[in-house]
Amino acid sequence: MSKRIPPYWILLAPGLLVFILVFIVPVGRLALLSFQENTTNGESGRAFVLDNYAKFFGDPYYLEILGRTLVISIIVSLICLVMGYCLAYGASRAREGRKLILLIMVALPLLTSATVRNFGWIIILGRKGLLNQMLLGIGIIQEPLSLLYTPTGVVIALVHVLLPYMVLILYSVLEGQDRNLESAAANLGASKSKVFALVTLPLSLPGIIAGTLLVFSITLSFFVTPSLIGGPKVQLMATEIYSQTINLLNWPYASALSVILLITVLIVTSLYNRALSRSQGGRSYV
Amino acid sequence: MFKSFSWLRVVNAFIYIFILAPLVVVVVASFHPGEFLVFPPEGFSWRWYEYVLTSGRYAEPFRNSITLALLTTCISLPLGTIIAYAIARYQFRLKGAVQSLFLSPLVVPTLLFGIGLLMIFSAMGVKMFFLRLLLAHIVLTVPYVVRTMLASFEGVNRTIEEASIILGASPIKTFFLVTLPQVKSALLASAFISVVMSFDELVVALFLTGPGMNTLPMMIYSDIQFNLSPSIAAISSLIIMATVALGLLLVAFTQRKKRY
Repeated sequence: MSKRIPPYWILLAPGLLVFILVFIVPVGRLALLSFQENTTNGESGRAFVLDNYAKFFGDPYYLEILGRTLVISIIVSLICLVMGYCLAYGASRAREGRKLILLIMVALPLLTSATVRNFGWIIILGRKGLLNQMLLGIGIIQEPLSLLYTPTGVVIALVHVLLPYMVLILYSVLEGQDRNLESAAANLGASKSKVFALVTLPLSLPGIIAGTLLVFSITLSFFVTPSLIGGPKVQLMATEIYSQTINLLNWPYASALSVILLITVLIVTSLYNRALSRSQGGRSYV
Repeated sequence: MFKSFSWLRVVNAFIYIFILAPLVVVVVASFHPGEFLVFPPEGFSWRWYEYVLTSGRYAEPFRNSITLALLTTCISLPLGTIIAYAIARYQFRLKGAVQSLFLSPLVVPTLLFGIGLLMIFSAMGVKMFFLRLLLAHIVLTVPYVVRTMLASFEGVNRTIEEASIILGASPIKTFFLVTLPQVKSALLASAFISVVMSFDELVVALFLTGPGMNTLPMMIYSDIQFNLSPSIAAISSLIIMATVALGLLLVAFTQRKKRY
């Protein structure tokens, strides 16, 4: 009797076909191309050279872009963590009927594209924007601040784009905590701040790690915000890759930059997955 | 004790303002009557809404985007559902690998995916921009469908399926008449995410389209850079309103179902 193809492979076949052709092949092609020489037609360069990587690691200009990307991503993750923790803690400790509304308000921006939200920030942060008008009006500043096309502006807009992810992760951890532990600590005489520092905060550590790493990995490769708010003055990895691909047509070099970015993201993501599985494992013991 | 709690509330109020401000600002700015974008608006008019809806400038990009979003969803919803069903119901070797393959577009930056596709499509000579985008959007939306449906299938009571099989229904009939009705809200949620994701997608579209094909997000993106006028605020507000309305409908529907 001939062996039949198991039903799950039949079910998976169309999906596998699409993903191999439209996902694995292009990303693999990108990795391969990064080892090719750049030629004018971008196609028939000598196979396997490390020129593109040597160019990246030998040029302070590109290393500075990578460094700037890492620094901005770290700052954004930390600000998101502090703001996200306040929101998630507030929502998880709110009255039952309020929780959904508080969460919807946080998640609402997720429904609108980053482009539209950045457009809102352009109106707020511009030289004659809302923020400058307000600060000048109150008299805190004498000269309008220039925020658009600066790293500060990019950080503000990125925090806004990524905050919902952080809140949703932290909320699920804080909501899942056993509240009896807090009551027990309070009954045993710990002050409110001590309960938070010694019980709530340590128990939410896996969520803190997972949320921070998630935000960090998304920020690393985010394109729209540095492109619209940062402009040419704040080049990050994503915008540099874009201009190498579209404006300079140096595809092998763009591929090498992409591979470097991808490896950075993958390292962060694997740490994230480990943190997340630990947080879920941790919860099952409680 | 009470003091520290209200202090958190004050901080959170500011953060909520921070979250909602850009959206509110966009909607308010759309009512400005003048040619150039200023805030706060010096008056109130529907002029730019009229312009957006009647000038025809946005008609074709809108048609492209909505067709793309609906077609993408028509394909990625069944595709992702079948994948999730196979992963949830069968035990096999490589299951972990298969699952991470279908979720991996969530990890690989969209930017890199777009560049890779651009290289492949131009090497193979695929010049139909709409087809390029459709294929890319299917891969981008399937992971969300798989993730949502996987969680939902795992929560389904399997004894009902077994009962249906024992009573003589074929596996296919059981799937359509027993399993699918139980995951209706997850299907709706997946369709919603898929439509919104595809409709709003910008990065891949920047790489894969060319002359003659424009999507609404691309139009807004280039207008923000080169042609900052209140019409961007008007079209953005319309998109915000439509998406929020759809989202609230979805929440209302799933909440209503839970009550029974």
